[in-house]
This record gives sequence, C-alpha cells and structure tokens, in this order.
Amino acid sequence: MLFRVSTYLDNEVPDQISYFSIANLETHVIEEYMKHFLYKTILFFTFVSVSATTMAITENTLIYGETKRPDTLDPYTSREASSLRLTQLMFNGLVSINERQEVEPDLATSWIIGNDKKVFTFQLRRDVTWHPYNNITTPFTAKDVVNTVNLLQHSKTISPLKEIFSNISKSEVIDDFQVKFTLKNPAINPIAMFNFKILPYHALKNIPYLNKSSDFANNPIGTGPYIFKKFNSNRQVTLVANKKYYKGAPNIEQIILKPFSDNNIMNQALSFNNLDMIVSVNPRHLSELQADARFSLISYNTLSYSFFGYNQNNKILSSQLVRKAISHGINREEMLRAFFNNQGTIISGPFAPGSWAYNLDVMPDEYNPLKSIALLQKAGYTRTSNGFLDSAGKLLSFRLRVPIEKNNESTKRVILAYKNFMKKIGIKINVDFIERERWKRAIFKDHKFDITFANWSFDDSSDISTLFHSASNMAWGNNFISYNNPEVDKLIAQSKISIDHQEKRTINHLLHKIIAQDVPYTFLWSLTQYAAYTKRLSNVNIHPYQFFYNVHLWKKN
Amino acid sequence: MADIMKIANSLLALLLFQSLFLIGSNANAANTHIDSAMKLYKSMEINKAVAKLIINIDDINTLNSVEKIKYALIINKNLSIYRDIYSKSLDTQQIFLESLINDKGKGKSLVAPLFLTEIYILQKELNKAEQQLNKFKENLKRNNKNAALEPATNIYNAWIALVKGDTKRFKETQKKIDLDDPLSAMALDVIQILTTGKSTIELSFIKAAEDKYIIEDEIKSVRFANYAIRIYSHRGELSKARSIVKLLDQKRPSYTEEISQFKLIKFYEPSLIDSVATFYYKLAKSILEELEKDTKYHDMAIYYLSDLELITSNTTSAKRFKEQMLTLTRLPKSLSSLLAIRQNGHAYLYGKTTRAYQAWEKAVNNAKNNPSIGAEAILMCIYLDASCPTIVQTAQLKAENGKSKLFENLNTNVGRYFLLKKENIKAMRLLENALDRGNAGGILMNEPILLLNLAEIYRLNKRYSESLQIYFSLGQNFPILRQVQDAVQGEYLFRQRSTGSNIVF
Repeated sequence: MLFRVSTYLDNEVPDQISYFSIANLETHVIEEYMKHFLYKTILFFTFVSVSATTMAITENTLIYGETKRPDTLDPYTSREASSLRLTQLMFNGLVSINERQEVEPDLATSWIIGNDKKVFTFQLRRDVTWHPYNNITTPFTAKDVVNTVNLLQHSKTISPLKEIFSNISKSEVIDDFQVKFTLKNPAINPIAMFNFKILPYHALKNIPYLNKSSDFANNPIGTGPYIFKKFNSNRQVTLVANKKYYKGAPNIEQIILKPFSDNNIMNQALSFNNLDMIVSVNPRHLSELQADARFSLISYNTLSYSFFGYNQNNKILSSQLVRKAISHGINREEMLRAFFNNQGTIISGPFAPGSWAYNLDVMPDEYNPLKSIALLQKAGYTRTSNGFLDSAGKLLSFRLRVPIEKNNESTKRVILAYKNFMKKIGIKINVDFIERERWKRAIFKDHKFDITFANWSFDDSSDISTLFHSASNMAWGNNFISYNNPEVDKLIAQSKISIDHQEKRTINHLLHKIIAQDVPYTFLWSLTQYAAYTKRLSNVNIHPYQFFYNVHLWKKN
Repeated sequence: MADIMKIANSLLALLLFQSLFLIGSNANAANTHIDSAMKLYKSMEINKAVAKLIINIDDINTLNSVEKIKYALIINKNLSIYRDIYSKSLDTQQIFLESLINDKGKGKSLVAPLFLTEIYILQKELNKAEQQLNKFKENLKRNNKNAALEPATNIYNAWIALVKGDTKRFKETQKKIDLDDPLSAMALDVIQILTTGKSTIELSFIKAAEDKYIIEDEIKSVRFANYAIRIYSHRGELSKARSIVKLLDQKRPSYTEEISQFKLIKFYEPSLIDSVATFYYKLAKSILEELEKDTKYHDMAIYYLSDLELITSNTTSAKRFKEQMLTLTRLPKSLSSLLAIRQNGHAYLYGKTTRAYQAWEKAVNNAKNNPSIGAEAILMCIYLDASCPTIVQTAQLKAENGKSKLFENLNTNVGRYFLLKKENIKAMRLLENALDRGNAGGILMNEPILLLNLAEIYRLNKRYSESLQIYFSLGQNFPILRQVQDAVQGEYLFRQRSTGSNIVF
C-alpha cells in the first residue's frame, strides 16, 4: 500500500482528475485487484493477531476501531480525537453535560454561585476513588481539583484546552470535599465550564506542568468507568472495567481500541466480526454497512470540517488575492461527490454548518478557474504556458504538507485532486506526505509548511478563538497559519467576554463573514459522521461530542 | 404524500407512454422547462423544480394535458412540504422568541413581543398573544426606536378581536387603522381573509403599492410580499401573485432590530410560508380544474384535486370527493390501489370516521406485503390529524421489521405521526429507521419530508448540531427554511452548555 503513495507522488499529474477517466479504468481495476489481494493477506494477519490476543479477551469485551493511533492518554496534551475519546472512558469532571445539553453533577454533588456570578463553591462526592496507583487506591478530594487547575494554568503546560482555564483567577481548597473558584469575568455558561477532567494530585504532585512525555500521559489514572491496562506496540489500548466506579460497575468488562491504518481493512474487520464498532465510518462504506442487517449505523457530532490552511509567513500566500484565487480554483462539490459519496456539505467559513454561529448569508466561493487566473494576474503574477511565475521568474509553487498514516485513500484523493486543480490555474503543488507526529511538529511547532490539509472538530461552544486570534500564533498554538487580523482579534476578544447570547451570535456571524473574505483557509466541507456497531451491543447512545458518554450502561449480548 | 415519488415515477411512465398517442409531437418551449423541472423533482430538488416552472412558464394554457399534470404534481408535492415547514416554523420561532423575551442579558429585544404576538395568534393562543401585544406597546412607550412597527399593533389588535369574534372591538380598532398606508390596508384585508374568508381591498391599490415596494425587480418589504401573495392568491389573481413569488427572496427577514453595534436580531414573517403555500394550492387547483374538462385526464385531475384538499384538510369539498372518487376508473394501478385510502380520507373529513379507520386498518394490516399502502394510510392520519393509535401500533411493528428500502415511507410516516403526538423517542427511532432505509448517496437524495421531520425530532431531543446540519442541507433547496434555521440557531445558542474545545484530526 505504501507503494501506491509513492506512485501518486512520482507520477506526472494529468489535467483531469484521473478517477473519472476511462483511460485509467484498467489501472484502477488492477489496483483494485491488488488491493483485494492485499486485504486478504492483511486480514489474515489481522485475524491471526486478533486471535492471538483473543486468549486474553473475554466475550464481554468491546473492540472498536479508529484510523488514528492515540498519542497520549491524559485529557489535556493530545489534539487527537482518538486520544480524547479514550480519556472520556477514564476521567470525570466536576459536572458533565448530557446529550440534552443539561448540566449534570458528576464529581461534584452541588454548587453555590456567588451574587456577582464570579465565585463558585462546589461540594464534592465522598464516594469516589482513583484508579489504583502502585496498587494503592486513593480517595478523590478537593486537592485533586485545585492541582488540575494549577497544572493547566502553568505557563509551560501546552494544551489545546488551556483556554478554558484562562478565566479562572483563583482556585482554593476549602476542605477535603469543598472547593472554591473565582472567575476573572462572569461567563455565559459558568457551571458548564467545570466539566474539565480532573487529574490525580497523588500521581502528579511532583510534576509542575503537563507535557506529552510525562509518564502519566502514557499511564493515566482517572476516576472514570474504565481503568487503563496496557498499550501494545501498535498503540492498541486495553482498558478494564472500574468495578468501583461511583455510577456503578460498567456492564462491559473490557474495552480495546484497535488502530487501523486503512479504512478498508477496518471496515472488513467489522464485517468479519473482529471489531464490534467503528467510531467513524468512511462514507464509501456506508451503503455496504447500511445493507448489512448485523450492524447499526448512527450519525453523531457534525461540528467538524476539513480545510486547506495557508501559512501567512509565506510571502506569496500572505496575499489575500492569491488565497482567494486558490479557493476559486477548487471544485469542492466534485470532490465531495467523488470521494465522500456526497456525505456532507460545502461550507463557507470557520464554523461547522451545524453550529449556532454559522453565518447563513455567507456563500462558499464558487468554482471558477477563470476568476482564479484573473485574481492571480491582479496580484501581479505573470501567466506563461507552464503556469504563473513568481517575482524571481520561477514557477509559482507551494509545499503542501499532509499527515498520512500509511494509507488513507480519501485524504490522498483530495490531495491529488487539489494538486490537479491548482495545476489548472497555473500553480504547482509539491505534496509532502509525512508521518503524523512529524506533521504535527512541522505544522504546530515549527510552522514549516506552505499549505496543509486537516480537519477541526468543535464542541457546542463553536469556539474558534484559538484558531484565528493572533495571540495563538506561537509554537504549539492552534493559529499555526500565523493569521493576523486586528479586527478579528478584537471581535474574538469581544465574543469571549460577552455574556449575551444574541450579541455572541452577531459577533460570530461577523467573524464568519470577515474570515471567509480573508481566506486564511479554504473551507471545504463538513462531513456527516457515522459510527457503526454490531447489534450485539445495546444501550448505545452516542453523545454529539462525547462519544463514550454513559458508556458504563452499554451492554454486549 | 411521502409515497408520491414512487407513484409519480410509475405515473409518469404511463403518462409519457400515453402522451405519444394522445398528444402527438406538439413540442413547445414549455416542454423543456417541464422536463428539466421533472428531473429536479425526481432528484428531490422539489423547490428548485417549482422555481423553474414559476419563472419560466408564464402562461399555463400553453401546456398540453400531460404537462399540466406534471406541473400540478410538482406543485402539489411542494405544497405538502411547505405545509410541513410552516408548522415547524411556528414551533421553532415560538421557542426562540420566548427565549429572547425571557433572556436576562443586557439590551433586551423590544421587537420580539410583536412577532411573538403573530405566532401566538396563528397558534390560536389568544391570551398569550394579547399579553405580548401589550408588552410591545409598553416597549414602544419607553423607546420609539422601532416606531415604524407601530401600525402593526392596531392590526394585531383587530386580528385578535376577529378571532375572538368580538365585533365591537374589531370595529373600534379598524377605525384607528390608517387605510391610506398600503401595508396597513393590506394587512387588514389579510386578517379578514384568514378569519372570515372575505377580501374587499381594491386590487388597484395593491398594484399601486407595488411601485413603492418593488424597485428594479427587488422586493423591498417582505411584509408587503406576504400580504400581496395572500390577497392575489385568494382573489384568484394568480399571475399577479406569481410575479411577486418570482421576485421574492424567501430567505430575507422581515425586520432587523439593531440593539447595539454587535447585537442584531432578525425577525421573519411568520405567515409568509402559509401565504406562499396558499398560492401553490390555488395554482395547482386552477390547473387541475382546467384539466377536469379533458375527458382523458378527468379522473387523474380529480385524484390530484382530492390530494390538494387532503393536504390542506379541507372539509368543504369532502362530500364531493367522498362520492366522486368512487367513480374514478381511468387511473394507473399505482394510484387506483390508493384510491380507497384517500377516498376514506374525505369520508373522515365528512364525519364518517369509523369507516375510514376500518379502511386504513385494513391497509396497515397488509403493510408487510405492501408497505406503500400502509404508509398512505398513516399519511391520512397525519394530514387529517386523526387519532389512530391502534393502526399506528400495527404499522410501527411492520415498519420496524421491514428492513428494505420499500419500508422507508412507512417508517417516515409512523415517525411523523409519533412526532405529531409528541412521542419523541419513538418518533426519532422511526425517522432514523427511515433514513437508514433511504438513499445512501447523500442526505439531499432523500425525501425532503423525512429530512424535515428528522431535523425537527433532533431539535426536540436537543441534538441541535445534527438538526441544523440537516436544515442547512435542506435549506439549499428550500430557501424559505431560513426562518427555521435562524430560530433553531437561536434556540441552540440559548441551550448549549459547552465552554470551548477544538481538536485537529
């Protein structure tokens, strides 16, 4: 399968997208045959490996598949959806938000809100214990809560969730089961913000701040329904039921996350009953699973989108005209139809269309290569028969860095199509598929790229502040494209302090409009996510953005 | 109605075949538009199909009988969707406006009570309407920023009086209405149409007002468009109504309240959807009545006329169709098999409920073999707001056990029924079943009625992002959904409890 990646990269790219070309049909058939052969081979090894592990797997085990390997397992240092999903199985917050958007007590039993809406005192549960650490079970107390906030507020802690803690000015232990917080400013959903996951003081007391390389990140200890047991060499994770879980022992004894590098193989594994669940089904497999009576399909969390991001440190890409030209040069409808079986919608700006913040008046840039060419000419670039030339007389070209985990068909197709579309408007794209960890370092830390392709996923707050505020333009910040628009900064700040719902909506609609016009990203599409699971599982209720909410109630028959 | 696509397909095949013999080759320009509208219709882009017809075909008399049938079929379908959107719009706007009024945030909306007044009148909650109207009047006294809306207070006052049957209050209020103001005069006429069915306004007066509110083919006031469409349609001036519908941007709000630089609230005409739906009803009716005169298509015309009356639960024509439908013999099999169910729909409207229930129950009992007929029986319960618990219980069992695509409509209609009866958990299960059995080639390839109801059940179950995602897709085909989308966004914002996290993947 790796061979095919290099084939794509080395080949001269045709003008038309090859997937639709009859001339390529033969090659396609051969590739499909090869793929089929490879599947069988790989599946054989998959089954052998699963059978080998089955000795330790009881009947009452849920094995689910993900296409991304989890990196860390603490709730804060990872940006990976697969990691964060796992942490939902192991950790709790003071409160949780149920699927009906209601705040529920979790590790806290009750709370008192001060008159100024800035002081919050929580009463904690007295019956919660941490997962065993060095064979010792420790009770959960207020010290854990305050230490979690301190760790997250430490200047050296790098976390995509750090922003949540920026509004807390003080956190105090009142007694073992009482904790008090003071906020800098009143917040629009003050209690809900305390759903952040609590970390154990006793396991972290010697660590001043969180980082990915800490032992805790790979050997987490939580209060949740499942206890971390082991990682294997393929980053397969095994968790076992926490019999002392305060909400009651989970029905399913063991949960195993099994990472797959290829969606097709993962789908086959489900079909052959080697998996019980896939958290995100590739749109191309939907019809097949839909027709298979053994499985249930369920849609969830639609607050996500895909994009091409443009590094504004690149002098050429810092021009809005160039970015706009690129956006008009991409036929997104065709890509959505061809590669994702139309399972999504084209978007126009920085919010997912399922969000309250999406500005419905802003239309996506239409596909118009002639407009792209005109815009590039307006930006001062000279058009030749080979394409556009930059000021040094060289062909206008950019390096597109993409994370690739061995083989991801959909991503490769999107990238190849993008490359073709750019060629049509006279821009050369050099694609650099790199291993995910290297990609993260290149994009988030070093900002060494011209263009990248990725996806964002949001919770219901649809908070885009860290993506586009100039203050997040730093190593490991979310504004890795170095976008800087003072008006956007001002509006983001205004939105953050606003405690008025309609004001927040107006500001976010305005942000949508401005950012869409600025084109820091080419906003592509929001795909409908589907989970598929065997009908042997019951009581499954997928939370829109907390996949494993109430997992302790799930059953396997 | 949800089954109409399948019926349509077989009907069309038959019609096209017949047309070769009956009509010959009198191809005309309209054919092209009808054909492309039919393509859109088949790909579930119903409203786009309607737009194509409305924009391009000026004179329906230029169409031959087959084309007229196709035209009416598309309009009927769109009407049924608009009726459903209308009920969703009233519910979602009511919740959003109530949330706005109860919001304790700074800078309260002064206008929300006025728009909520209309929603309450349309929902027949007159005491609440009265309260909101008084609230708006108080707001005006304290702040005259929205004084342009003041004339509406007398209109709503008169409307409440009319609905309550308080003639004295109506007459007193009527005196206060400035009849030289086109919007006020038209509004007064509209509320009389809605309550008494009478329209007395001089049409030349509206024509003159068009110069004020339509500038360079752009409609400047949605309220004007709403009233004009309603009055013209009611008076049978369909070409005039059509010219307004053609120009109307159905996404536009009626009024935007600017509370501060960063706090704008859009308000929509609650009754606009119903006005446009009325136009579709009258248009389809006029075509089908014309077609009744054609002996070859007489039966088909009657069938679709009866369909129109069922969609709108019209009791006035129930006796006619209850009897006339029994005489129809020249129908394709796909329609004649539904005849008994629909005929009993009219019987139900006429008061013969026991007979109707028996016929529908029989259809549902046979749903395992013929789910389309079962779906049609449940559709009658939905259209006519009939209480069919036993029938639906049987249908639910058949629907859930039926795993093939053939059971999509049965699941949809049972789900819709549960939604109407506020059995939300069951409704969600059945509607998700329907989608599961639906078209996997993209959400918009599915029946719009299914999507509408799925979006609504997700909203009711607080799964807002999924609801909005569906509305977003559907809104591309139905611009008038904007008022629903805006309201659901607002409700979502009031209810959402997250504090901000994003992950890259």
